Amino acid sequence: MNRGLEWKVLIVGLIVIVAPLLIFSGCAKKQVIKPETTEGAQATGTSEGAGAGAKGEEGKLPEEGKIGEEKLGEEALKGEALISKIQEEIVDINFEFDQFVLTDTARQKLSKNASILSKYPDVKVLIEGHCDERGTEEYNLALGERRANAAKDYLVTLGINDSRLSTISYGEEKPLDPEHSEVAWAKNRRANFAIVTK
Amino acid sequence: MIIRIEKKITQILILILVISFFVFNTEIWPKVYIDINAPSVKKFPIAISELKSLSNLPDEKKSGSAVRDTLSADLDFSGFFSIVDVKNFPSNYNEEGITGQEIDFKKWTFTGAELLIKGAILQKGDSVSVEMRLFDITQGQFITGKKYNGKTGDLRKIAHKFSNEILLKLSGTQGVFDTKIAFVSNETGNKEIYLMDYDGFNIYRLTSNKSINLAPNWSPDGKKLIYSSFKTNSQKLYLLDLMLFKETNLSDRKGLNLGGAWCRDNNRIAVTLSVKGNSDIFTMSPDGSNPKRLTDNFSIDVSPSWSPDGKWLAFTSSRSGTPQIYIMDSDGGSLRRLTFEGNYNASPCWSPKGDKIAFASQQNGLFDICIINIDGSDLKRFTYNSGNNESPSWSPDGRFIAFSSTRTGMSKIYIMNSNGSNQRLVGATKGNESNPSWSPVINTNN
Repeated sequence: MNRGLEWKVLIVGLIVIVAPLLIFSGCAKKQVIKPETTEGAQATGTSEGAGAGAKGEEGKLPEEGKIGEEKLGEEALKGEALISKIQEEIVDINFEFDQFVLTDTARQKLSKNASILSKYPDVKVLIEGHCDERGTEEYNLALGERRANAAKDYLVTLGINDSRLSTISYGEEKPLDPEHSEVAWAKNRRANFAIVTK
Repeated sequence: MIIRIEKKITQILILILVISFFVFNTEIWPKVYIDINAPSVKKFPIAISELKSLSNLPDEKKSGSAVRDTLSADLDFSGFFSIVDVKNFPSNYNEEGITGQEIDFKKWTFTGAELLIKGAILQKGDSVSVEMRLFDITQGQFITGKKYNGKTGDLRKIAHKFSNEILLKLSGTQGVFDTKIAFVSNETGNKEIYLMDYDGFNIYRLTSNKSINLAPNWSPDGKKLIYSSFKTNSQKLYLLDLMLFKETNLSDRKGLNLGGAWCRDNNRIAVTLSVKGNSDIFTMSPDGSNPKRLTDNFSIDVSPSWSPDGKWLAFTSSRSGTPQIYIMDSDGGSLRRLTFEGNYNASPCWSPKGDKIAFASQQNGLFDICIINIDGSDLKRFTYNSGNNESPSWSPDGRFIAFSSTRTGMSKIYIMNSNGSNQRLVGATKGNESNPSWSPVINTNN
């Protein structure tokens, strides 16, 4: 009697522990989209991108597979899925303190971004310039704009059509990392590239 | 020749005699109790009697105390008065009448006070009527009196108005007690524009667009506010009419639309625009039209602030390699650099008297509030080792500076005297506060 009960407990226990792990790892694989777009502060936590549909109840695993199949069945990616894919490949560039001059690393990253963008001639990009929190708000808004413009100008020299690129500066208003440290500041001095629908 | 000189001398002597007659004859010239420009002021001991409750009801007494407390806080804040506590004096001090004939001035001399405020309050429902009088105890003389009618919600306002009246009569200068401070707070989770009284009371949120709103700036009449907002996913400048609560788009040019310093004298608004591809200082008409470019430089130019006569502008520029304060005339000419110490000086704010500029200066990675004469002399630092201190804004009488400080961790609005003394917290929202902008004296004619 007792033994039987122990086994039952063990099996139920295993299901309870393993099932969520399986489901969770499934989700994690699907949620490869990093929405590093505009909401710096909200970029942590679970993604709300295209993969959000996978977040369901435990009993609905088959449906999840169906959604995945549909997407893979498409010949070319469209709409949000396409945006997510490009967004995933494209990278931020960083700047030195109080500088808008492109570093060697920044130029390399921009070359990579340019080659990605040239593969998708229909998408447009909003380049967002950001600063770390040191400095006055107005000055940083101007500095962030210079950073966005520097990135834009370089992409144009690399052959990306000017009409596909727009800029906005958020100054110090949208830090990627809200900490007050050299590490956080270095991350926050950036230009990022938000893919927008055409 | 000699006769001529003698004639001149006698003419000058007569002129001096005439002038001194007017200056020293207090019968003709009103007595000036407070010299607002004196470097150090003697504090006037002033007694504030409890307000007489005319219907003698508890709520009315409470309202009377509220008026008295606000009056006391105002006068203390001004730095011109020491408040004499009349609580420990016999009850007949407070119970006596409120007019000149009813007051026993001899009795009041024992309090050590030289000035006396007497008042009465009548409250019916939510309507209040308050009458207040100011007396010179030593001369047994009436100085001024006012009667105010309003609602119970106006008690602080009524007290502020009488505080202004007192300062006006004693110094000849308009007080700042019914001025306001516009600022930014992220109390709701978003940076929105707020208003508060100069003393931190009556907090009111003006915007609720859930985006990023920045840098409020007053119109010269104090009835409109200019501010920057990202509420449409691009950064634009708006003009909010505080009387009609109507908002108009002031500048939605491509790129930055920042600042909005509105000059009374030339009726031009100085702004930062980057429509030409790089942030430069422009002036424009109050409706946003007719822009005129004042700087044309590859560097960053931001944060224009007018001299009170509208002939000059101070602004921040990185043209020397680091952000520094510069001054130019209203056409963009006669440019000169003002600050040379430190490698980050920004956010200039020209004093109402025109002689000084307050700004934020970065020292060892942190910002402090500094002040400098417009000829570049006499640089002074007013904050030390107290987090980041930014965005100085002068009170309209030039006697105080509002600023933001992170000295307690969060960013909050503080006020200090214009010599840097008496720094005190006034911001009372739950969020981080920034960008204080002190209103002009608002004339509401009542």
